[in-house]
Amino acid sequence: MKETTGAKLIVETLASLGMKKIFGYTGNYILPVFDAIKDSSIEVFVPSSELGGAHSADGYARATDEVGVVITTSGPGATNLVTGIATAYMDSVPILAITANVPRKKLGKDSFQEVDITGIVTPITKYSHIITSVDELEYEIKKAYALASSGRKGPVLLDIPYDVLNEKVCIKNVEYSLPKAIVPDKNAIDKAIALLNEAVNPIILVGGGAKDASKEISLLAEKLSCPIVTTMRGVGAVDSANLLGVVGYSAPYSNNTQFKKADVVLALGTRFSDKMYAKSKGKKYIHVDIDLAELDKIVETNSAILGDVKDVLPLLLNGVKARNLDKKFTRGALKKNRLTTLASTIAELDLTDVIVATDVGSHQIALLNALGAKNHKELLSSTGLGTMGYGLPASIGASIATGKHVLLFTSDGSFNMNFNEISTAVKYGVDLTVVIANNRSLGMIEDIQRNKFNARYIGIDTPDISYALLAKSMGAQGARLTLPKAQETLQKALTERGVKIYEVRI
Amino acid sequence: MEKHYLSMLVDNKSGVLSRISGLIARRGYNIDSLSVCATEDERLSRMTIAISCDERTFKQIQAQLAKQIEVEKIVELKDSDSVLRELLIIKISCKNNIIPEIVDLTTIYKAKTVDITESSVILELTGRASKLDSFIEMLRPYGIIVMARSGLSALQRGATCLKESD
Ligand SMILES: Cc1ncc(C[n+]2csc(CCOP(=O)(O)OP(=O)(O)O)c2C)c(N)n1
Repeated sequence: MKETTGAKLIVETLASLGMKKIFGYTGNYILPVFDAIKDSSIEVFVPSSELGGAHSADGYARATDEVGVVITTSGPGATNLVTGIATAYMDSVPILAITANVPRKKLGKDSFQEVDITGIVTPITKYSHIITSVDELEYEIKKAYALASSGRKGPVLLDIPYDVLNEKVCIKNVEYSLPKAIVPDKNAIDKAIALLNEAVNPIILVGGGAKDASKEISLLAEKLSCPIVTTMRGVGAVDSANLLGVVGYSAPYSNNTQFKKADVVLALGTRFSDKMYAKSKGKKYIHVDIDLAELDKIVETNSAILGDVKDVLPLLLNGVKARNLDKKFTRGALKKNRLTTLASTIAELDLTDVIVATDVGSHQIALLNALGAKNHKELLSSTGLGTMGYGLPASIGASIATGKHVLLFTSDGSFNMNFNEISTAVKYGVDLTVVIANNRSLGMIEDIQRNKFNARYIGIDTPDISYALLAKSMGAQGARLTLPKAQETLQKALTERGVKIYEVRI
Repeated sequence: MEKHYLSMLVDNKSGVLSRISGLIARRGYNIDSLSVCATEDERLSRMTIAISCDERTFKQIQAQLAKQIEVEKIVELKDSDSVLRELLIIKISCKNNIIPEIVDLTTIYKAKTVDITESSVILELTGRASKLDSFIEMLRPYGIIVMARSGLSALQRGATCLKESD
């Protein structure tokens, strides 16, 4: 057994788990870990703020399906992670946050930069734990990592007191074994098959938990001759001619009408968020989810199947009768305006090998609705928490993880929140094309004030910023584009290297 | 609304009680009692929760609790197959002339007298929650000064038991 320190053990354990790239921001108490990284195979990418680091770890995870790691110092370093962790939690994204804390003898005494981060993040993590002895460190890292990336994925946090980082410890190569995989219940499957076979107007509702089952979903939809709709989080999960698009409050009317008409809903990996679920009487629900607590939480099901969508679908495919109806499926679209036109222009670009990202607001809704029936499995969009400012740092994380070009569609309000990360993108040479739909307003809120507050506008004006100059000041390229020019310029930009920031006035 | 009881073995670590109670509070579950105690295994604590809710809500609470990493085991305890007990300590005002009445009540309920002064008496009773409720009602006319209830503790009857190895 090799003797080492707590800090080195963290780095070696992360390396042994296959981590090569992590995000981190330094500070007094995390210094031993940064020092250990210097001699390791791991590269640390430094954002402009810990929040950027957390979103980057999230983007890394969405783009690769692996755990994104972010490390920070104690106190404000740790609290800056909170929005990023909550964003990942709401969208079931696996990130491992490692924070340093004050030495054990100073804990609980309101010491300088002491904060109870495990307490703060308890409701927004799958697991959070403060290490009390260096002997549990290796096991806890492996446990946290395994928990983040198994079952319903999600963020986890380990908090490590400074003196633990410096303590001597032996690497024991301990293992953490995960609970057994779930075997779907045969009765529930049979019931689901019977419901689908009796259905007159079945429909498949795809959520984020179905992202690995694109092929099976489209085969099933073909066999049933039925339409597919998705939640916001499910956008990009399927590639099928039967796909109508999104349903819910931000969806085209025609998609919602089709959903209402359905008599049997096969819901795959969704939590029936309040944004999508319009209760309609007389429907039967089959719900497949990996999280028992999601079954029967919002809708009462006629068949609840606990299991991974990917494992359950082949069983359903086997059992259902082919309906062979000659049906055409028409994708719904939002009303045409300058914003939706720009979104469609972007959606229609050749996006092969390009990762698409959005921020939060009207532009997000426009793009998520416009993205065609193509697979965008790595789509980066904060749909559960709706976190403005998520887009840029998440794009950086995804590009660092994959080396792919990222196309971010944002708007001025969201972009202004975290544009300090442009310099991070430039520093690490990522290939990134940003399109800012600049309406000089917090557009989505402006719409609400127009409709619900009698057009009494307040707090929605955004500052007049020259994004071209801003980009240049940080070493990126920037320009203003007109709508008609957008298609050509953007398609070209996607084949070029570096960071480009385009502003389109809406 | 039905009464439901849950017995859980949870990791005996800091933060676990706050995760469980936070979950219950955040999701708006209205619980009757929650008690935590040590077990024969020092790595684990036992939590017993009593809840009045409909069947569907109960299933949801059970699923939400079961998925917490710190919850090692969780079972529903049924009235019929479990020993459900609660402890009550109650102080009532008591002048000398009513002592015989109090003694009668104590005997009927098999309660214990644990402290007595010129003006008050402290009684202790262990039993099912309904028995405690009725004892309290009987004492109310004498004037309850203070009381404390432990919340429910419970074990399954017979050979089955909630252990980590099960
Ligand atoms: C961090 C954060 N703060 C506030 C909000 C509330 N909010 C939702 S959409 C929105 C406006 C977004 O404006 P912008 O990014 O310019 O996008 P647009 O709607 O104009 O496309 C606001 C303020 C939020 N989602 N996230």
